Amino acid sequence: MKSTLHIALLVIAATTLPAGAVQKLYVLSSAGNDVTVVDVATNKILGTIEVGDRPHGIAAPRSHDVLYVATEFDNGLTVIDPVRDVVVKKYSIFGSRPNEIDVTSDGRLVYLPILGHGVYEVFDTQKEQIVARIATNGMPHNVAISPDDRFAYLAPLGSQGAAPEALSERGLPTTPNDKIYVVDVRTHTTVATISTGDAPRPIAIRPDGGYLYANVDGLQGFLVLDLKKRKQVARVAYELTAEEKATPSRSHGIIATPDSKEVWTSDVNLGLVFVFDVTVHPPKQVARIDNEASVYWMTITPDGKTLYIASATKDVVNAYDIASRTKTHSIEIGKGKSPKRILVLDVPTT
Amino acid sequence: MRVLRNTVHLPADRFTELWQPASFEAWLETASALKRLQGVLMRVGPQDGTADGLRAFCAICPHEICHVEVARETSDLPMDTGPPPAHPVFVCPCHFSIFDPLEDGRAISGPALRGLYRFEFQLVDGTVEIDRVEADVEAIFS
Repeated sequence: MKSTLHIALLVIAATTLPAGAVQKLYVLSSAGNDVTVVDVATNKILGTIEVGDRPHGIAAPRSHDVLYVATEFDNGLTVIDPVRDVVVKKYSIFGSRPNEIDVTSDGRLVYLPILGHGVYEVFDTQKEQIVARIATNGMPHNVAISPDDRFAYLAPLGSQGAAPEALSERGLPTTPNDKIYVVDVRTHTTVATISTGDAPRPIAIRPDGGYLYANVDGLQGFLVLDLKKRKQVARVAYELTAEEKATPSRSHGIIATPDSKEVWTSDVNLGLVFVFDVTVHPPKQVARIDNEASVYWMTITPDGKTLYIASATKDVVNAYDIASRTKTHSIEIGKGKSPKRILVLDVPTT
Repeated sequence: MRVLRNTVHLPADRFTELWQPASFEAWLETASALKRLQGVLMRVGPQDGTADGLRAFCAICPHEICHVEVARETSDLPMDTGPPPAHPVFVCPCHFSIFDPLEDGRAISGPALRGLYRFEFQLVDGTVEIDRVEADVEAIFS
């Protein structure tokens, strides 16, 4: 019976992955200098790749044949060949403290938030040079590029309650930020902003391109932004008990499923993940999951079957079956690595 | 300072030894809701039975609201610059901000842009009474 089930599962896996591809999970060690590579089929660690001091940003083009990792403390961008899991190049030409990155689907342009300088740098991977710098308020931190590559959505941090003098002492931008910047990817110019009321945190674009979901400071929940209207259309709070509401916490980690039907979003200190049906307006909470560890970042396999949650304070990444919303594996990444940003690739095998 | 919803009472004789932290819960009315503040009281100075050497900090990291922990062994801590203090410090497990209790909770390393929020207290008939907290603590709920 067991072997029959095993064979059935193998057949399913073989039919849902692109031909000649293998799924790998890449886990950035926010407190270290490496990336841990995990085989999605077995959830076993395959190895680690050294990339530079404090990896913070990770992105891949649609082909999944190259992986970019930004390293915050040495201002670098490392290029990884995910077929062989080796570093093929490293660029060290960026401003102070690159954070979470994104890349156009063709792999041509990488957008890097440069937290320490108050700009987003646009790196042309063919010319191997920075082709634009886009100034914003706040401290550049997150970015997401639309599926059609038309727009980049820039989400800088706010001042996090710090006085301007404290920011200035550390050489950080002193302007507050309460909006998302809409940038035309063809010209690298800001064409609009969308108010978020407070500083935006992680953002996620629905794969069908119509909406952007944003965690923001001061909200245990998320905002829904209509990208066509370029405005906020819903402010969604988690359903929490009075006890949970009394616990200081925040939302950090949000993702839409590939079928654009659900959003999974987190509460860091409560260690909870909430699932929302986003086919209705406003989105409706349909499930809550106790991750039993802080939640910091999430990613979904391209086939939409598995969701991974990085728990920095426990040095683990947990795997969940999306259909049944149950935890299937817990992967120990290594003591003190503080895993945060994660990404799954369908890596070509040839 | 902001007055707490409750006054926390802790027996002072629990704090005769240096660096022996005790946790407590305080409640603060904010504009949006009643919020629970985790606190830590410890003796960092003279062991003379007075309140002079006592410090009470909010154990919520002002950077991103994670709970800080006391690190007794400091030699391997990831400091931005210089060696870590030899005495115990507070460390945030999320982004490794480090706070020095001997300097009123000042942030001495990592991304936190300010020190730990402090509670105010008095010693009354052998009891430490904690009844106020820095008003700025409300920033973490905004």
